[in-house]
Amino acid sequence: MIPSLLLRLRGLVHRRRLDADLEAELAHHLAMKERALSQEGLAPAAAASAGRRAFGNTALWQENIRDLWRFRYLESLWSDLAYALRLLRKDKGFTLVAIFTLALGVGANTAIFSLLNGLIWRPLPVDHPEQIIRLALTNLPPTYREWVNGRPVRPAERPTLSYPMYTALEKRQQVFAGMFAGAGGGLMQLDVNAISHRAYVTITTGSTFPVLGLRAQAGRLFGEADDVVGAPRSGWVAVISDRLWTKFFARSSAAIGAQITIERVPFTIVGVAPASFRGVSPGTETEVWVPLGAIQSIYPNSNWFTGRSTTFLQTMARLRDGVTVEQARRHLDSIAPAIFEEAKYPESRAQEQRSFLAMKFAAEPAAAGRSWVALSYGQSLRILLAAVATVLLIAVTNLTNLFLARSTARRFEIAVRISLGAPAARIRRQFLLESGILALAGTAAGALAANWLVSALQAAASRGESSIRIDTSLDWRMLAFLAGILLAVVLLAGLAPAWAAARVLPHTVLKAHSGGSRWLGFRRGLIVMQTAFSILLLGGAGLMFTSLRGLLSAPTGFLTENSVFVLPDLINAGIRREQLPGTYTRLLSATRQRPNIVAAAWSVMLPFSGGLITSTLRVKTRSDLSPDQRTLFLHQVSDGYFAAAGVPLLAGRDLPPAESRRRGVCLLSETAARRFFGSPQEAIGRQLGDKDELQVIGVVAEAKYQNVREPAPPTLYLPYWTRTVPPAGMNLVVRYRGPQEAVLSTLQSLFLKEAGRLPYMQIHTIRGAIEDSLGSERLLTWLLGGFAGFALLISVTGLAGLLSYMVEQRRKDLGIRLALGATPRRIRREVRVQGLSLAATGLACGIFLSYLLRRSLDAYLFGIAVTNPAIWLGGIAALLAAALAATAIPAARAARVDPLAMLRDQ
Amino acid sequence: MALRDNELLPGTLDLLILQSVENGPAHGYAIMEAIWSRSGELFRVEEGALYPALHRLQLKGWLAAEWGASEANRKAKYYRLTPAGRRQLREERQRWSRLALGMSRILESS
Repeated sequence: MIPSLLLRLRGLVHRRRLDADLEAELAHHLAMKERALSQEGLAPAAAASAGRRAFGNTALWQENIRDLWRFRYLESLWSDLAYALRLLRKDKGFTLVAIFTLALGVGANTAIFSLLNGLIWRPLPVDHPEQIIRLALTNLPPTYREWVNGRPVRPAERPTLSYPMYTALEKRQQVFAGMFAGAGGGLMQLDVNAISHRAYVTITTGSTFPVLGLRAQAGRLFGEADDVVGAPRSGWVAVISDRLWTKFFARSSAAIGAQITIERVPFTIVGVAPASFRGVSPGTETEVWVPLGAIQSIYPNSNWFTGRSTTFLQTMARLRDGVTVEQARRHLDSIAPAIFEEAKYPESRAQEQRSFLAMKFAAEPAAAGRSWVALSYGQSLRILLAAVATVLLIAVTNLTNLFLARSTARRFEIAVRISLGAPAARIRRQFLLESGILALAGTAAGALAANWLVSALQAAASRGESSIRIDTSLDWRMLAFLAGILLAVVLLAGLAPAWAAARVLPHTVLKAHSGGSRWLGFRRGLIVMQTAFSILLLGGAGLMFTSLRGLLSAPTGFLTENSVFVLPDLINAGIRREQLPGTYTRLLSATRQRPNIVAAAWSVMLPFSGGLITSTLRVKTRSDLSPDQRTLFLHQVSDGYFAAAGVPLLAGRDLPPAESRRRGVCLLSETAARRFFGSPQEAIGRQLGDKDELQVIGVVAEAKYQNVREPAPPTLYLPYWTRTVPPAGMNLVVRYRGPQEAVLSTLQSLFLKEAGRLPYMQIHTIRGAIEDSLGSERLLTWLLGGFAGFALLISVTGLAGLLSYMVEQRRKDLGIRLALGATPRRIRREVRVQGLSLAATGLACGIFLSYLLRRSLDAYLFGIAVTNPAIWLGGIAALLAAALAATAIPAARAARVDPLAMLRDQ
Repeated sequence: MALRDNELLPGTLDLLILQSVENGPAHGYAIMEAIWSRSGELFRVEEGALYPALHRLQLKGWLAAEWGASEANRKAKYYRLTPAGRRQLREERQRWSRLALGMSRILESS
């Protein structure tokens, strides 16, 4: 039918020509006929009129021909559209409610979908992303441990390689077109024109941009020649992101060649990365890229390039054309022994060497990248997607219900149209058009709301300093998603009312104002479904709220009041690394002399901020313990830490003062002491370590470090001066009296005096750190709560609407019954029972549904079972109360029916 | 007496039109005349049925139309059979003769 379609389209476009053609054709016909008639002997005038007479009703069949050619469909569509718009404008309340509920449902869905899309599905904006793979170490040595869920765990993979491994691999491999590796990224101090900022800097090999196939939008991107170990003669170069270019240089070409300083190391900007490229770690957004060689200048206290145990390179590679991931894996397996032989540390023991050499490489496709953001938020986003899909379903069923009610209210109008000859298809189309317009408006409003919701969500999820930036720009997946939602809404919300409307029987409607109850069962079903989903969301939100409250108030082992962790960036304030030991001691004693300071100490880490170091210790007297049981969390602090953080000392004494520089002493947490030596008291004075190099001088109570939900890890406390190079970023832990602001300004003046310049200070409290570490839980909780409230609101108003409608339908019955002596009270009770039984059916379905889904929240719940009766009973009570409230208006209306007026009407 | 087109069996008009342009293009008036004369002045197709049918067949892709000069040197729209129309004509003809055969067998056997 394609040719006919084309002809018709032409007919539509060349409407005037079609008319002229038709005119000419008929004129010719008429002329021929006149000629024939006059040949038969008729006078010309008589022939003409006879010819025309024979033509019949020309206008009618000409119109028929025109109809053939034109899309009458389209033309009538316009008038239907205008009619639909007029109706929607007239019925403002209905239109606004419909658009608002849809916008909320669509907005929430689009927001969550776009976050998931940016985080997990969207491929990297590089040439042939399908060729990019991620390399990791696998078959790890049996002693290797990571701390997961409060226990040491032997992981399947380690995501980073050491520099010797990377170079050996690069030299020997034959399956990759190129390899690159990054040392991760983080917020660093960036000085532009002598003004300090915090910027997300990624340190990555010179091969990165060439291998990814990226081209600069201004200047050039750095390459292998810019990345040398040591320092290049012309100095270090840097590439900046589109955002930074806009923010600091107003997209001027003057940025190229500009000097910037990162962590006090000077760099020259050589170019700007493409606007679409935000780095290879979705969920973060790199603002400056610097070559790997510069890492030694930025962080001088590690042997990055020679350290054989320093695994820090997140390695990626591009497969050669035609090479599959499987082939690459086989090749990597075959060359792995030679690579590890080259990268091994010769000084280690024979058994350790064997397990080191047995390691293998893991290769995974990395088209869409992979990041900590994806790992920490992927799961909660998936749960949220399920929740918002439910919300959308509720919103759409509500719309269906509204439409059904409306189509019933309009059955008189429809009956008249059908009697006047409107085909059923036209009526159906009218209703589909109306739902289509609403769906379009709702989706558009939802897409706008999604934009706002996305930034709010990212802000809520960003923990402390590490902000989350997910690329949510529009792509085909987003468009397909929106189009799918639009279609689903039109079909779900529009189809049933359209069918219902087209099946109106004119004679029944026009005769008496009744009928249209056929869809009542369907509408009841929708209310039941809404109630079921509402209780599901309500229960989930209740569980999450209780769980979050439990997490926030769970004992941590610290005294959180009147204690603050301050992390001064001393290096960027002008302190040289070799000066640090003296600076630390001086600052500590100066702080302790201030009157508002109760206790002060240094700590290498802020609890609950991630980054746990573990160590597997030998205890000579306990050879029966497995490596897992001997694995301890390692924490480095100064004397006074336990007093400042509020961790009670159970036995023995605190560390000696920093001035003593005494090594070989340690404290244990209670669990560690009990495990190794039986009791805290017995642990005092005992030896630990391969060569008994550590002596236990004290035992302290348990304190949690990684996560509130996990048990406190068995901990080994060492003096921070154990390391030859003191750590650069240490927290000053302070227990104070009086207002916190006064303490902070005290510390500021001390830092200023010591460094000569005010350092950038990160200020944390344990409670704040806990809240930050619960970002994912908090996000899930608040969103589930919001959605549950929304769902409750919709289903309750839906219930009220349906009951009012049913009362309206039964006015005659009610009138007769009231006239026959039924009390208004009894009528009211009947309506209430009707409403509550609907709600109860929904509740039963919802409880069953939540039983089926009981496992989905497991990972997030703390100190509360999914089956907690208080939560579910509370939810049920809340829903029933809301349902009861919803029945009030229809019940009152039913009881107010005036029998006399009713009978007069008939 | 002449049969009017509304007394024809449904679909017959299409067959008649296709048949009358089988041997070459013709304009509407000529087609009408051809059906009249070839049916031995039995079928009279009226303009109100002929022209809509012509346009319908054109939309179905069985007829193609172009403007040309007619006998009296006037502009006239000529309809001709497309290949698809020719196939359709063949099928319609077969269908019709089967129908006619069946009908006559039944009618004559009684």
